[in-house]
Amino acid sequence: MTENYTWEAERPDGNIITEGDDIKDCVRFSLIPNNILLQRFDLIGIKMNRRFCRGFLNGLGGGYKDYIHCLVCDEFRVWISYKNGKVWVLPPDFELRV
Amino acid sequence: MSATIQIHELSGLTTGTDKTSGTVRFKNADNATVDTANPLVVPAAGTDFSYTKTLRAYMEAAPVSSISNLQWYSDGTNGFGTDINVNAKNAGLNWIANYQTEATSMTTLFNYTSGTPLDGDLVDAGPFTPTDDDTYIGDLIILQMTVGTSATNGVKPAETLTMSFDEV
Repeated sequence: MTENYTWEAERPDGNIITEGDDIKDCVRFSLIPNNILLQRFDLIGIKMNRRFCRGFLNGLGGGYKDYIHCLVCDEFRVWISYKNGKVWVLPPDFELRV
Repeated sequence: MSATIQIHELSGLTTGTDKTSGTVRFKNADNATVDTANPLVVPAAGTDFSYTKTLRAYMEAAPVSSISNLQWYSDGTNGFGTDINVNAKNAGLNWIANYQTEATSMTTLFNYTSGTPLDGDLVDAGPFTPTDDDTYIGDLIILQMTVGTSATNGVKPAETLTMSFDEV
């Protein structure tokens, strides 16, 4: 499931970053699907601060339940599922767990 | 490249069986084998306690930067039926061989939900970095099933326990 998407963020000078959590000043954030059944996401025009992924494993067996990318912005967080492309836009202090 | 985090059923502080894609079965024997041998029984009086199950996260492949914020939680609903329960606690790094007597300081697993999860890195605190590759990370999580006199016989449905972690 973790391979369903790759991410990249673009800095104002056009440089592309694909590692780390600091995406301040980036003008674009993209999730690029590696699975033809999933859609691509391009986020532009919002002020982003940092990013991380949250993995969810079935604790009594069963493997990955979901793997979700989170973009932390000033006023909200955007969560995008690697499992099915579902999107949640939630308050910045809300900890999404599925 | 994303990290690979596994869940292991432990037989020692740093010895265990990968159950990430398997099953954890509560039974009256101290092993990780998934079979119908050594089942829990409905007692005539008192409570039948399973051997404790000890779970811990394992970093099979390292993240680019770090893993942190380990949390464990249930769906909040006990689907085992009347008088059957699973209790849980964070044991830190205090390894005790799995045992069949009543575990102390336990809380029903179903009180740990997505809104109030069991902290999984209270003692062995993250963030866990690529230097922790191929090692156990986070705290020992102990589970124990209890069966009371009003329980019914038979194979019970699987329950869910979720471990979440943050990755950068």
